[in-house]
Amino acid sequence: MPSHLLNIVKKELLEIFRDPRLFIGMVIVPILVFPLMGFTVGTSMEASQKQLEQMEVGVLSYDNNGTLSNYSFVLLAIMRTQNISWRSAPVDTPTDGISWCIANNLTVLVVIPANFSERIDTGESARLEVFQVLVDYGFTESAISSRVVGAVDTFNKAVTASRLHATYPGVPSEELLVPAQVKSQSVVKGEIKDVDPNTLVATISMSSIMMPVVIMILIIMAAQLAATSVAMEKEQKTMEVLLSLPIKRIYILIGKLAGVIVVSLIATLTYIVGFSYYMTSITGGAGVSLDLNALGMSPEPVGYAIMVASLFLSFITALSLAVLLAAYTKDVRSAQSLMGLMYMPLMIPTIVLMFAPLDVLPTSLQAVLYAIPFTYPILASHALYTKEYFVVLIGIIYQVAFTAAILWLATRLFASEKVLTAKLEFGRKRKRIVE
Amino acid sequence: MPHPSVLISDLVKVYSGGQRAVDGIDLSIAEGEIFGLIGPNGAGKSTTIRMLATLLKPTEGRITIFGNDVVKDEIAVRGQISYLPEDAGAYENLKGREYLKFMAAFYEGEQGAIVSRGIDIADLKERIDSQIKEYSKGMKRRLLIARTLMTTPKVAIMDEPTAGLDVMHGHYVRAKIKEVVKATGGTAIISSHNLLEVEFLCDRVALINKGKIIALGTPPELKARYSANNLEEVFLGAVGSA
Repeated sequence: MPSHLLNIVKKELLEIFRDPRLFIGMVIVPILVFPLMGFTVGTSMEASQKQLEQMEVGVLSYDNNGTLSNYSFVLLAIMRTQNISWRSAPVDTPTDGISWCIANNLTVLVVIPANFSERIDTGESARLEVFQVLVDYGFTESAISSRVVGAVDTFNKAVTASRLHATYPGVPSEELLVPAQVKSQSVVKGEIKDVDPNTLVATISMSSIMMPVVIMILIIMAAQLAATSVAMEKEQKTMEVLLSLPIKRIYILIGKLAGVIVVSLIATLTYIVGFSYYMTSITGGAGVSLDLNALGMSPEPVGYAIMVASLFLSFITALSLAVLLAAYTKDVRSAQSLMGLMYMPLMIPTIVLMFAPLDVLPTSLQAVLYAIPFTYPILASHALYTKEYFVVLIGIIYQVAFTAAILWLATRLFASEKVLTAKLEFGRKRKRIVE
Repeated sequence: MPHPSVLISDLVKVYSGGQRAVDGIDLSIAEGEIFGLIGPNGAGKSTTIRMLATLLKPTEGRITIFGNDVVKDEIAVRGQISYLPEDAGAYENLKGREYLKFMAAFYEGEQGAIVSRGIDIADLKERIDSQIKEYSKGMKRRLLIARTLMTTPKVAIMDEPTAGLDVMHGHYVRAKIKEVVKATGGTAIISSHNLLEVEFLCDRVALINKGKIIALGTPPELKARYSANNLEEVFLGAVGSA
């Protein structure tokens, strides 16, 4: 009998891989489109970075009757050290200065007031004005004036340090400028980890958010594939012949599920490869700078095993549900419309748990989430880092029971004549023609 | 009369909506016989054929094929029959040869020989290695007939085997059915609206109307009974008087 099962799996794989729509969606898109997107985003970010690095600004100075006095000179020198070059605007008013900047393709005008150096000399605050010409409201424009403000901040620290040196000669500037320093550390399960809590949380939550989203996408894709496979048998009118073959119906069901699982595993790999390349392209690998292994916080093998088990059960549940629903439809279009019913229970846990842990939610919402079997692989992805496996293990027992029930229903349906006679259609009146 | 291959007794099928599609059919079909089921649309032909193919379960009554009950011994029955539904399709992304290999693998016997027989019956020349989605309707039907007959089933069940085919393909399919079934000594049950086809192929014919058999016999017997020149006149006479 396993040879019959393999025969069905082989047929399913041939059918899927030779269908250009499915092949493009599950293999070509992740393998080509994600890296292409990553390359495009990476290239545009690099171009934007270069634009910022070679920044040039216009300067209109009224300090010391238009000539650069000592503090104006220091400020502009600091700007140069930070790769911000500048040109003096040969005009008298800020309005004319802005027009001059626009005419000369400069995006920022820095106006230094008349008594800039004098006020700083006497310990008073002087007010610089920075005008930025906005054109496309893009990512680069948001960083331009920040670079000028950053140079002014460096100038302020230099001036403050020189003042303090008069009172505290020999003390390093870093200590003079920051009298009280903070070193934040994380405490994980009672153990002190020498890492900033914000950095640690950002690193872990990145994977806690990304992983459920990828899991949800893959489960939806696999369920769509399973539903399409069954509905295609009905639409192409191959189902009756298949059901009249001398094998048990459960082998037909398992063969179909196995074919979809194999394709889903390949799709999972292509998505992981494509998506990783995409993330690396846009972050330049910055997202993996924190070494969780060195902190003793990397996921344990048991955590991965629990997650894989929970994920596998979710796949089987979703595929069985998809087959069950699709068996009641007449064609692929109706099956795909009916599949919309499955998206809600798939998306609710992903979206809710992305923003809040389960135990802080209202009891009613907690109950709903615990009842949805697709909640547990997401909890398992969180448990990779919290290492709190109890709830997930209980969830796996629940998933096994839920999956067994759905599989039993699907098997019963495949063994009955309803798999042929049920014809749920969308947009048309249900009709049965009997000869 | 030769040993019966198919026995149908008091067969009734009522769908969940209450529609009584088959209403007490009794039939005995002999081994080696080509048996025709004719009748108007909605008469119960396809429902009867689907029950023979183990796809639908009788509400009442019993069907046995070579002694095996279609409900209790469904796997054994499926090993003895080969079923071709009306408007059946094939897996569009498979090649013709792959489709025959896939189907042959479920039956006992030397796989290579079964597939070779299928390729001979289909007679699609080099197009047997093209994807089925590139086939015309006639080519698909030839492939499906080949799939049905290549396993030399004890009972071949075919619902409208030539529906929608042009004259050339229709002629080819009819000739192949007669040639292969008679050569292998199997039984065939054919439902058709083409009464010339039924007269050409069938040894005996049952005329079904409103779920009941209203006439049964060889084509010459039926023509004599209704003083008709052909089965079409038999059909009109029997259904009109029913």
